[in-house]
Amino acid sequence: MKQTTSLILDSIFFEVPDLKILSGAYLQLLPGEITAIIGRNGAGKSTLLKIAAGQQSAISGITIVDGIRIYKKSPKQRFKKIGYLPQESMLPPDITVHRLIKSFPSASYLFDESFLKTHSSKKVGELSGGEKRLLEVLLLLSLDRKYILLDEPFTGVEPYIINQMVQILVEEAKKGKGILLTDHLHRYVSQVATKGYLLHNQQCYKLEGDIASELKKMGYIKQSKM
Amino acid sequence: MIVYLARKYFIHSIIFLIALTIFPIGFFDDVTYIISRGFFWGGLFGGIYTYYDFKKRNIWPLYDNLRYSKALLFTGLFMCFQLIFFILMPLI
Repeated sequence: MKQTTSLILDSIFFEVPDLKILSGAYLQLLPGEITAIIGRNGAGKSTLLKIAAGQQSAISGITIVDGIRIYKKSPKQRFKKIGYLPQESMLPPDITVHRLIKSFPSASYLFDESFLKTHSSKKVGELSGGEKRLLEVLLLLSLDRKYILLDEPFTGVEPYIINQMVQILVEEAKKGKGILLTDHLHRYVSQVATKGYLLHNQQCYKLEGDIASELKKMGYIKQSKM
Repeated sequence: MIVYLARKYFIHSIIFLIALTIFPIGFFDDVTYIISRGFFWGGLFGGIYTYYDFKKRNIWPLYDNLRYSKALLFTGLFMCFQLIFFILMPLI
């Protein structure tokens, strides 16, 4: 059965001079699920997410958002249903946390968050890397979007904040949001994701069942010694 | 976030306006003409500079997430900048 309520990246091709990055990559993200993309450095995880969010044009391929086919970058059309967290922080450092939260239409509830209560008068540039990342994730999740794309949300973040993020992501997925995340840290990703893809040889390989054991089987991570 | 962009745009445009006005005035050209030209090119260069500055600092995805149209924002800001000239014209 063909599911129309999903975000599909189909036959995505992308290359830079002398290097093929994606050759017909396929991926499906369903609402209410947390899907992980795992791959080595330079495998094309960020490129795939940029293409999905209309930040970069693919050489060919389509994005299908709830049955609507999008061929061009058209970020305005994509962002009706997609929220996107880039790999590098997108927050301007010279703006206060209070002002930033106020500029998001439905994020006022974040003022009750204990961590933001203490930091609301601070400028974004004064926050630590992990706090900035958590703030970005919270702001994105406050938006009324069906699909949230997170590019390495756990990189450079301390385990305490990662655990907090993981809890929030699981709750949001339960509410019906489809979350796509990439990371090198498969330990955290495989904990939280219900479905996974391994980006290898310019293709997305679907990981069936338990992500960690699938990665071990494929030789992506070492088998633990007994 | 619109206020943040506007603040940056006006700062950049005013810097370009000053640069494009002070130098020709030194050559005793027609002041009204120089200032009007300064506002136009200052506004244009200010917009281009702000766009690339935000791109370099990776801020545009934030505006995309908020679904603000960059073209619309810059057109509005450019028009506002030209309006300042028309308001100031009687004083010049």
